[in-house]
Amino acid sequence: MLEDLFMNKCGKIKRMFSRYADGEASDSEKALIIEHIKNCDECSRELAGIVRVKDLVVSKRKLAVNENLILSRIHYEIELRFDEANKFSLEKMENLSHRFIPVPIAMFVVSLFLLFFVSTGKVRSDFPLIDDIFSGVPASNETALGLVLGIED
Amino acid sequence: MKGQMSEDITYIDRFLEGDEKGFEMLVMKYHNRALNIVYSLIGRDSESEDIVQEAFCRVYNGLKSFKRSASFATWFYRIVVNMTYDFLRKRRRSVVNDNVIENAVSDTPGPDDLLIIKERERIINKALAAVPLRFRTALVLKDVEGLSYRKIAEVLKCRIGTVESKIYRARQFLRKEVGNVRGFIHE
Repeated sequence: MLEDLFMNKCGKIKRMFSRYADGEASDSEKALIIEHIKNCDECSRELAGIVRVKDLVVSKRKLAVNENLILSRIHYEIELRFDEANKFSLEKMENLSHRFIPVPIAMFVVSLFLLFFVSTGKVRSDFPLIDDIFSGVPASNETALGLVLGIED
Repeated sequence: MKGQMSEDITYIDRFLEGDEKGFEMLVMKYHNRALNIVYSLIGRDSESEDIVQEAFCRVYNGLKSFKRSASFATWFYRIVVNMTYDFLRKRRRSVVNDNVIENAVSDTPGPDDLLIIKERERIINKALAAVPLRFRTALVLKDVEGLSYRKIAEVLKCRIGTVESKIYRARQFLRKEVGNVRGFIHE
């Protein structure tokens, strides 16, 4: 039972080891850890191992690349992308124009044709009364088209 | 830290006003830091440089939309870490090779020293590569870049307690890996 309690305490203390090694532990936590490792060899060994491993990574050699070289590379890359983006957007516009410009032109021509056809044809006053149309009396295509286009008297 | 933040904001403002020098100052300040983070995470020098370069290209295009509620460093490190994750996802591997950047050494040790340093680096890099990535990132941000737990939590978007636990787990892995190399670390 006592051993279990001690192991439980070890677990709690161990969780604070990194904080301790990184100098982020509070004063009370530091005191708790120091007090515990005085009586616990296993935790003492583990803490020493963690501190050593931390020192090892901290002392790892730092890379340093010439800043001017890096700046020129980054600028080159950004300019390259900017040019590509411009080229791409121009190409895209060209493709879009090839693909989509004929559509509005065709629609415009059809609209002109319809307007011309309808304006030279009958007006609503020449069509049967609207009540007649909805009463089931068959209407011609011209009648329907006149209604759709909303030609007023 | 606040001084650093205001310094970054000054550079960003300069850049947004059309002065490219502002961006250049950010590159000079953060390039080598980011390079060391990426290199410690993937262990490949030339690819680390590519990732950092790409990150700066993103920063260049994204600075206009940078929200000043977070610090530039946090925002930038998040970009760097995410891009490194993307790289590793694409590669599906995180093997460390023995190459070191030729012009990377700031001091100039003799041939014998260089051999020892190289061997030491090889062992540390190999051990780091054996640490699962989710733990390694927090460890690298702490021990290589020296960020506080709070900053790491902001970069990784997690709680401080989670950061602490990740670093602890990473060090346990590392201890085990390095301990396997006889004579490298005395227990």
